[in-house]
Amino acid sequence: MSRCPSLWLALRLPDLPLEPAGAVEPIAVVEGGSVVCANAPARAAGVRAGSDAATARLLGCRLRERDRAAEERRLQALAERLSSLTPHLAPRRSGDGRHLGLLLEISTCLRLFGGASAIAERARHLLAPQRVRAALGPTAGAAWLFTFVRGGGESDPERAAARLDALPLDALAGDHPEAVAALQEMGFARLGEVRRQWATTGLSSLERRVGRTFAADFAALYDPAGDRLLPAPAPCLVSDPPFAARFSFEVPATGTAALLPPAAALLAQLRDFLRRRGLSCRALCWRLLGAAAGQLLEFPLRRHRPAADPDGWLQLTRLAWERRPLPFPVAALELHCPETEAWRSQDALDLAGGAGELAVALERLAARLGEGAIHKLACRDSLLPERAQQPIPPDAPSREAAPSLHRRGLRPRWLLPSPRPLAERQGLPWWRGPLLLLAGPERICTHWWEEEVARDYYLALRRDQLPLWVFRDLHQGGWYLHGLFG
Amino acid sequence: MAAASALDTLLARGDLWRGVRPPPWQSGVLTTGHPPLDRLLGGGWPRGALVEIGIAPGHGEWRLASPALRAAAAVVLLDPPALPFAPALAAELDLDRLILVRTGSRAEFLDAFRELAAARDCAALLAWTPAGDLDYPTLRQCQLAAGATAALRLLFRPPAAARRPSPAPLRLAARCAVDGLEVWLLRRRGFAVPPRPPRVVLPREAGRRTSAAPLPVRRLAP
Repeated sequence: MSRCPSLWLALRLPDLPLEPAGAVEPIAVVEGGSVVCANAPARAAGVRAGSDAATARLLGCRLRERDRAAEERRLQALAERLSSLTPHLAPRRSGDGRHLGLLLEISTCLRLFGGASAIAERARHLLAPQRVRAALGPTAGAAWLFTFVRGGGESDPERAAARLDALPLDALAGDHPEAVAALQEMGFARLGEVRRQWATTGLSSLERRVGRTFAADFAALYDPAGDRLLPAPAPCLVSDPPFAARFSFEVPATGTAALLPPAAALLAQLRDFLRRRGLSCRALCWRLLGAAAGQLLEFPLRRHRPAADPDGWLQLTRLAWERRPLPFPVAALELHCPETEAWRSQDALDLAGGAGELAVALERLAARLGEGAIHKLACRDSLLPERAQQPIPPDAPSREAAPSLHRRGLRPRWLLPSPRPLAERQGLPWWRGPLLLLAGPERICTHWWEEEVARDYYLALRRDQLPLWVFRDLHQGGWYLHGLFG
Repeated sequence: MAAASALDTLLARGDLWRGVRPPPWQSGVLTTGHPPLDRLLGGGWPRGALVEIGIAPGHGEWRLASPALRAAAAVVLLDPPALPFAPALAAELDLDRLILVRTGSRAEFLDAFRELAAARDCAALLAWTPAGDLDYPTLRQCQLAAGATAALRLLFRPPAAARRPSPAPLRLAARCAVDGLEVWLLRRRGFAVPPRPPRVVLPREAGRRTSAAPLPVRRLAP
């Protein structure tokens, strides 16, 4: 099986340092006294990248200091947007920090989107209103260099190599200033000359003269496999912090009605976040923050199956918020989604009439009544009756078999959450009348490793013929009611 | 002609009382698993109707209802009076299909009842009225919700509720007796209950503890 030749789309973003994009007044971003980037009105006034900051000010520009951290955040956000096209996506920064952009490996998604130019068009659309210089290339490096020259990119490796050959060495100066200077001193002017030298003397001589990193980058420029046995895998965007989004109110909101529109917007953000990654989620958490410190209210929500639809989540959100009045005006609303899972198509079974209605009813009730209000029961291996079962979430399976002691013995179907002390008269238990002991005792001795429990259980009958499960505590003495044979 | 069709419309109504007739349960019945009780109810538990049972909490709900629950796809207990004891129930029910819901107030109870009763795949809903019982309008809402599906909807009320009016088409009362659980009929749609209501006794379950030898009985000297 031959490997599909790789195809790269480089997107250079010359205006990324400018924020906001599309301002009408001339703005120039400066760093270290010279202009890094100027917007369209500033360029019309004659300011260029590399101009003096004082000149730019004379030409009527507003000067902004460059903020690299903000730039980096914007680049990440843009990469996020493009992840709907391909997961093989990496930010690209030139070594001197002058140029920023994104590299996308698109050979695997050409058919899906209808060709490379369609993908480039979509990318431009997704990145709008950023100014984009796009170019294709057989390698990431070639595509990136082609964004600097007229005529766009070249996907055919042969012709791309010919065009790379014609480029001046200065094109690489941003990433490798010393190596380029050294090569120029040796008399090289264009990339092609270096490549021919490499072809005759081998890569190792290039490594010796100008350094290992330059040689590796130079080789990767022409050949995706370089001289390595295995091609490096295309980078993947794996910047998956758990989803968290926030909405701040200008005036703190006092009623839940005012919270719902921003909640819908946050849920739509969550949907986009999940959809791009092919994920869905089963649980999320709302955090309502008041103006004062420590004012915090959390509303965890859960669905019976993973979902990303904002409407369903909003409905549950409304139910949860209506449960009780807000104790404080809400200054900010946060949505957290700590756990996600792979999206799966809904089971065909769900299309059958009525299936899933109970699950939907239960998830709505869980939102309204709180998490602990709905549970199932599962048996547990314990001799002590009150520990022989435990509540489990409604979507967990209850498969554990009953402990054999409880299967064999006489057991009531109602258990009191904790044993209820009974009065004792003439050595017999008394509860609204004397209790008649019909069967027993069955001795249960256990938990010697903690606090030892020793009880004699009896089937007792009250005067109104109600059968009861009572025990006598052998350590402390005294009678207790523990269950009803209802 | 118009009068005749109006009469037909009237006769088609399920809640019209027409003397002694087979019960007009639109969605059929579900056997209770107790033959005498089936006869008392005219076939079994009506589907898609609110069945009201006056019984002291914990005095025999499982005895009464559990045979009918064995085949149910999902059983929901709404505000049960105590904890169902899982090791005992595992012998007769699939615990995986048993769900407990607890509410904190009357409004929440009504909401939960309506939500659960309307779910078609909730095959059986057993609800215990919150403290202080429910008033007539609330019961009426419960009855309407129960009519939305063809499943089992049981509402357990305190015994004293038997004297209060209720819109439920089938009303029973039950209490523990010497030989078992005594059940009698208070009201059944389409059936005139005689002044001395008919009653049946569901004997105590002797066979529940089959595998083990009988426990020794030791009477403590007073």
